[in-house]
Amino acid sequence: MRFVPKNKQRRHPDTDAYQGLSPAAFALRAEDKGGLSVTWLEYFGPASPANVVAGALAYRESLQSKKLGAEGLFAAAPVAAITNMGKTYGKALRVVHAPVPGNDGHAEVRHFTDDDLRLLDQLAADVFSQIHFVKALNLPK
Amino acid sequence: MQPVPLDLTLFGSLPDRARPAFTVPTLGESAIAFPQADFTIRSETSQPSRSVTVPVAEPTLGEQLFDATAQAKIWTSKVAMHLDPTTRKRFFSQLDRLHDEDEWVGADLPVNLGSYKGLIRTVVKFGIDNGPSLALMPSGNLLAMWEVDSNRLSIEFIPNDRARWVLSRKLGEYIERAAGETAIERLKAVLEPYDADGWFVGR
Repeated sequence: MRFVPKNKQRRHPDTDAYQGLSPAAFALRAEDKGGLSVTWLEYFGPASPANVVAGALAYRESLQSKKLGAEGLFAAAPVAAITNMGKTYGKALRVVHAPVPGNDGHAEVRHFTDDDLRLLDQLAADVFSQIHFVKALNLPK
Repeated sequence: MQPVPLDLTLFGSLPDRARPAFTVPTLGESAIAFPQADFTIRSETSQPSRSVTVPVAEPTLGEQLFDATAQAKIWTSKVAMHLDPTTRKRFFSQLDRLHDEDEWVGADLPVNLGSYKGLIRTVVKFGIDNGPSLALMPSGNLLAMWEVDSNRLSIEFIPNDRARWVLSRKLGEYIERAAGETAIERLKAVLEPYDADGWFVGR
């Protein structure tokens, strides 16, 4: 799953209501050193709400600020869906476990580049479809 | 040692006002930035200087975000006669929300003034009156998004009046996808085959 801050979501221009992910969620950030930075949920155990919380806490711990915006969210996708979408756009994506300080479940989507807006658009609209809002996770302080 | 010019590559997408003119000593230490016009930096081996070197505090994140949005709003005031008040208010509100310090993560850049100018010029030129939703790319470029029914259009505004766009449109059971890069003055012509007015004009 990948953390998507509020300013990389698609929100209603007047009401600010959440409407979906934006392609900006998958543009590479300075933190994406070895590829698209994600957290491997299964590292924390079988799929369950508890491992989403564990993954979110680990991600938060890896941040210098140690805080997540309340309007942020985590978007999750199956590895196969990510790699298959990469193939559609001629990219041989690989998801590799790459622990970082604070987040032992950190992984990277290797061979990912953000130069093709079509790929970013489809990742946002069709692939990362499981959404977990930070404020709904009730993370401990 | 002689001061050497700082590589400004990292500042390439910052607004002009935020792009500093620096020199930095090659002392093998972290680069510390000083506005060249105000201060002189000398190495320890150089002649004593009468100039006073005063460290300048890096702007806080909150200050950087405020400055970026203020620049955009100030520039907007120069073209306000071309924007209706509702549209202007909508963009200002979105700029504020995109730069909420409590929601800010990592080393992303605040809005690039050149990108914002491209957005506003596009809105004025084509009389766009239905949105769009805005998001911020890590580079500071604005991403404008429209969604009508099951059709989506996203345009990334690149400084110097360029734009990258991507769309998907449902045609019966088939989804048509297209993407490209063009000058903003050509956007409507390029999008015309995909029913540009369907996104750009309010319904």
